[in-house]
Amino acid sequence: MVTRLRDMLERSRKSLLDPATKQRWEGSTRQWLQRSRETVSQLVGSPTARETGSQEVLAGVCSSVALRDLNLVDSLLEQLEQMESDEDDPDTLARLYKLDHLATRLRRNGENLRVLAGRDAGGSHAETSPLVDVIRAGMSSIEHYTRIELGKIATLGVVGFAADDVSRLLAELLDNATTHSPPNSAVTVSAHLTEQGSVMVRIEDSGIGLPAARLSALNERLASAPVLDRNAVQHMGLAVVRRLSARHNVRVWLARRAPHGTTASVLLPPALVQGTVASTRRRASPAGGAAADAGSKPRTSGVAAALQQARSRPGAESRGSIASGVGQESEMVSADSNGFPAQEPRAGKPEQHSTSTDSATTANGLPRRVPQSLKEPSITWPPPAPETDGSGGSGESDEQDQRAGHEQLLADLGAFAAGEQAAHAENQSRTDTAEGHDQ
Amino acid sequence: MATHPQPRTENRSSRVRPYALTGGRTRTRHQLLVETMISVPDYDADFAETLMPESRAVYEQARTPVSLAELSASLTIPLGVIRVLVSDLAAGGDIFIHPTGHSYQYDHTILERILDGLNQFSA
Repeated sequence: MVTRLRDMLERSRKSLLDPATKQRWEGSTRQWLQRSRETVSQLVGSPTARETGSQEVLAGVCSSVALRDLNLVDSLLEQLEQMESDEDDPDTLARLYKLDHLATRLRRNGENLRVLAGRDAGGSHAETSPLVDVIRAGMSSIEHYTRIELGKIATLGVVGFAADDVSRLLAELLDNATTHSPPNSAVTVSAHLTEQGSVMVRIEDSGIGLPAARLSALNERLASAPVLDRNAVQHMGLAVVRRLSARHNVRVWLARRAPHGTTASVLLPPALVQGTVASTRRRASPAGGAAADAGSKPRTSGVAAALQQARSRPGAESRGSIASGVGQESEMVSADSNGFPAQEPRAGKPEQHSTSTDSATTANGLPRRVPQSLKEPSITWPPPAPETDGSGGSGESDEQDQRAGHEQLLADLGAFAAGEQAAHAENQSRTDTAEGHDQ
Repeated sequence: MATHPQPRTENRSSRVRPYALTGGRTRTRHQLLVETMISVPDYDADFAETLMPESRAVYEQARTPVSLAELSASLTIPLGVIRVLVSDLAAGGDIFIHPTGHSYQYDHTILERILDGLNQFSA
């Protein structure tokens, strides 16, 4: 036994001392080391490169599955629409509405998955969608949609390529607002045109509100670049909002609301806003447009419509140049009362519906912009964050004035919305009691 | 499994769902048949301004007497939605519902409602 061991030792010593075998061993060891180093570096060394690769594959798979689901849900919704329009019995219709609601929420999930995977969620089309429909589309896809109350919504449109993304973004915020406020309280949505041609949508709930630290953390996340990280799992909705807002240059922030609750503000840049009035809600049905038009007077030609549009807002250019100065409160008021075409009282003139549908595009079929949106974007856009700045250079006093003016406007809008809501609540309670007597 | 899913066919279904137009309600206070005629007694332009697009379209069209079926067809809004919108407008007295031949005489729902009302009085 001992002799055998000694023999083996002797042999190995010999082979190691032999220069030829020594070289062979060292060479292969070096090779092995090199290879294992590579393997380890692949496993440990650069995790980011490896993760992004597999994440990309995973995102591709997810978005592909989501697309299949969406195609199925779309046909499901189409079938349901058909059944709903044929249904005469209120109870059966209510049941169909429940199914429709579930399918619509399913569609939102699928679209969110695509948004998170960095893909197009679908729905970019040529026509401008009325702002009120964009909001109601978002409202359609959340659980507690009956608690949403529409306040004053400016009669404007959202350009086709962004309309569905904006309603997806609003859906997430509306969902947050309804789930984080008492189950019997209303969530109010309002939308106003700012003097810069952007549109501010406000979603106000009356929940217990968020602590200041949490609020600023959330705002920071909303303002930063969209990254899919561990936190995104907890705040799926927020991640969707962030992606969509980055895609369309929309600003979203949360603020405390007096006396309690949270206000989510969404600032749509002028590039997404167009002046349009008529609802094109039923564009899905093939005969929809024609039938809707048949109800009103015959269309005027595109040129005539464009001319009428031009006449209805005299001095659009001059006002544009005034408004491009420092944003002051008085100018905002004048811009409002001067009549943005869509806000003119057009009561008693139902035939204007058809002409105003045309006015979303020019005579040449190009999208028509609101007058204010023609301004130099670098001057007016993007606007500053409402509470974060104050660190601007000394030579930017002009810009700071403008910022101050804009903040003033935002504050005014807040006050206006609060007043309006109070009046609405009062009115509501009055009609409620009146109805109570009725029954 | 197929190689690539079909690209999404856009706008086959509307994004604003019918239930969102009525807050999910399907019942009406008034009996509204397909042939029921409605009209606006006193058109109020300011009031029209405050309405949602669909209600407003109903209100504008009903300035001349019109049936629910016509409204539904010309506005391409499902009848179930039109009924609720008309009922809401009628509740505020902004729209007048013309009585149809058999909707009031010996109508069970009306008689039941009267009975309910009387029971409430006596309770």
